[in-house]
Amino acid sequence: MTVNSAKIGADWFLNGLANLQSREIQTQTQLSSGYRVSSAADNPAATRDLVDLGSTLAVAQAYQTNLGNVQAEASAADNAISSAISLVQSARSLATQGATSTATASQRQNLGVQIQSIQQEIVSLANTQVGNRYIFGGDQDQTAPYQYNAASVTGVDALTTAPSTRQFVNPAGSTVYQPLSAGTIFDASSAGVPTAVNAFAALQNLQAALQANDQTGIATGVTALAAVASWLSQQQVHYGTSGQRLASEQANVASQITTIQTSISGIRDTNVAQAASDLTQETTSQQAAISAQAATPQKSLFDYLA
Amino acid sequence: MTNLFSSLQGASTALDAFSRALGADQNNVSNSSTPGYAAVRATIQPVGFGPAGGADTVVIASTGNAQADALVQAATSQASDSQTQAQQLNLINQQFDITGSGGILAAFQQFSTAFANLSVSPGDSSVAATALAAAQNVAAAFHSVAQSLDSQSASLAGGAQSAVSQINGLAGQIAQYNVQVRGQTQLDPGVDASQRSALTQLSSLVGITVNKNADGTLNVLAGGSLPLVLGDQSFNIHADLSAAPGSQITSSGGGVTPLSLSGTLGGIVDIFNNTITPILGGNGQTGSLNTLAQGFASTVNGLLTSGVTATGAAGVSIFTYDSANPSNVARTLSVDATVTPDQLAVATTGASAQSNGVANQLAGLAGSNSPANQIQGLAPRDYFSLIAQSVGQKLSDANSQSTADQSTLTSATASQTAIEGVSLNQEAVDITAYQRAWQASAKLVSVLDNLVLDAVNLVGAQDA
Repeated sequence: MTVNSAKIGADWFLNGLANLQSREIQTQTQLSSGYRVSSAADNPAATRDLVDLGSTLAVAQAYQTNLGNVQAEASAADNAISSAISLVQSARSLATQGATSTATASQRQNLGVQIQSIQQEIVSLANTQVGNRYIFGGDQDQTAPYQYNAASVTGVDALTTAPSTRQFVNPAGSTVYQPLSAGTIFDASSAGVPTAVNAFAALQNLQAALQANDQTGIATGVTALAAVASWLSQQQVHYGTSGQRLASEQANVASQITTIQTSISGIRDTNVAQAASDLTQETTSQQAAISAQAATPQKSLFDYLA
Repeated sequence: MTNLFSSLQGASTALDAFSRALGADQNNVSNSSTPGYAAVRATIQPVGFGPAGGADTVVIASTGNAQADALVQAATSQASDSQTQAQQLNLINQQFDITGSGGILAAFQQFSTAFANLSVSPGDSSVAATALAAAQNVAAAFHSVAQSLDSQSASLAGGAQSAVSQINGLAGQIAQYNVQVRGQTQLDPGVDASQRSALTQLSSLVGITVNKNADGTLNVLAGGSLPLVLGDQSFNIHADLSAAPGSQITSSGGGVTPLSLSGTLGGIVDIFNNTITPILGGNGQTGSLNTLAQGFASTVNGLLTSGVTATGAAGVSIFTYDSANPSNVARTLSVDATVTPDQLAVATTGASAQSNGVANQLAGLAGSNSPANQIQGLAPRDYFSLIAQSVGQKLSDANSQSTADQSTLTSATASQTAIEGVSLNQEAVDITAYQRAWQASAKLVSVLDNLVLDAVNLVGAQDA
């Protein structure tokens, strides 16, 4: 039986050319986008890995950003407590001066005024803000926790009484930072009664003793302030430890992000050298096919009979 | 004299035979590029110069080969089927981005980040507003995918109607050609080519089985069981994709709806039944998209209603959806417009109360391995992966299948062309041979004519 070889050849040529062009377009897309996997169809088996890695990366990046914010908060808290300790030491020094038997009532009143100033500064430290948050505000950190009130028993009014229950957790769910409230740090109390380490109460009592020229009370104040300074140092240790943990987490998450990005790149990114080689080969094949087809005789016997 | 007249009649019969053979070859050359045209072959019987002179000495027959035609029709149907599926799956695949640059996965990631930020500043209403907006994005992402798939479903239904309309039109044409074929004593190459072309077009729309009757007419069945053409009678088919699978395509001629139709129509039905419906729901199925939407939304609502706000108020649900219709969740998922950021209850209560306890859980929800937060044993994002992977795998398979089917079609067409196609070289040889034979016959007629004339003159001279 006769065979129309030119038509059959043309059909196969067009089919082959279409396949070559399809592969060429795919390779060009990979090169221009930089990705060999742009959708699940490009590598269905890698879909779950890509989704998990991409989502884990997003979580890690959010964690990294929030770690920075929390580190700033922990650092500000550490600095605030450090300043408070210095102020308490200053107050203790003033109290020691007032506790001497040579101090006059007038001198003690002047010292009392200075103590009052220190009280106000510590209130200010208790109201330290990072961004729009009062970092010692506990669970109500949008409101200043204290205001100075000379008439109050402790020298302050507590504007909020919320404890600090917020926990900053890492992506694995472990708590890496838990802030303290101003009530815990500066206004320790038991059953509503200020304890011996209550900074506000100690300063208020000292200030009252100085104003009242009460030498015994002043001496008691000196002792109380030593206990307060010690308590504040303990609280500072909490933030110091937290700071170290946060720095460690920051290093870990940075490393984790790099690892995840490398894994994603391994699955998703185009192997440029391979793709370039493929493209060259596909282009060459296409040109060869076109040349071969062009060289195929297109004339029939009719052309020669004429 | 009798022998001379007999020879003259034989020579003129041969002249006619070669004329018809030449005509057949000229027809082949003219239609060498006509779609559906199968070359015709003239078979010339030995021309008798004796008493047999004057009999029909040429038979014109089509080279059409039923087996080759059936292979091409099957390959055409399969190629149209896989091409349709690849095109439709490509659209569906675009709805399930796995890179996190858009769609549901990106919305999950933004939701996670927003609540992680809120866990750092649970009392900050602006951060809470961002978290609420992220929840709205999740709802919008589900809504968008559902809407796109709904549009695609409507487009498929329209495509099915269009295919059915074309199928019915072609079935009518084939029935008409059958009427013409039934009255023929000789092959009409024009009718034959038109009928074959119609069958090829039909096979691209739906898989067909063609059987030839004794009278030369064709019976055509769709999918092997639905009658389209029986002799000179055609039967309309109807498409209703909303019907239960197996009843979606019916014929006015009865018959059992086949499980696989192939062709464009088969591809449409396949995509609708086996990809879109399992994702979007319908026909008694919930749909994986709805399962994911409901699983995620109900878990978020459950966690928020278990918590308390910064002021100690009980939590409220944020997501609303058509809970009465599980297959309508993704379409109707939205965030309750009356909920304000301050109502996000991100604090847990009880012995281990945390002001950001719920926020922490919501931040990790999409990837949570907690059984309470999982959907059919998978974290929400893994359930999403399952849907995306399934669609991606189907698209990848359909693309490979389409390429393979195209090669199969090329191969089948090549075989058909080898059997039925017009070879211009062969036609040139045949025409030359027939032309020379015709010229020889014409010369013979001329010689015989002169001999008869001479014989008549001799008889006349003798009589004189």
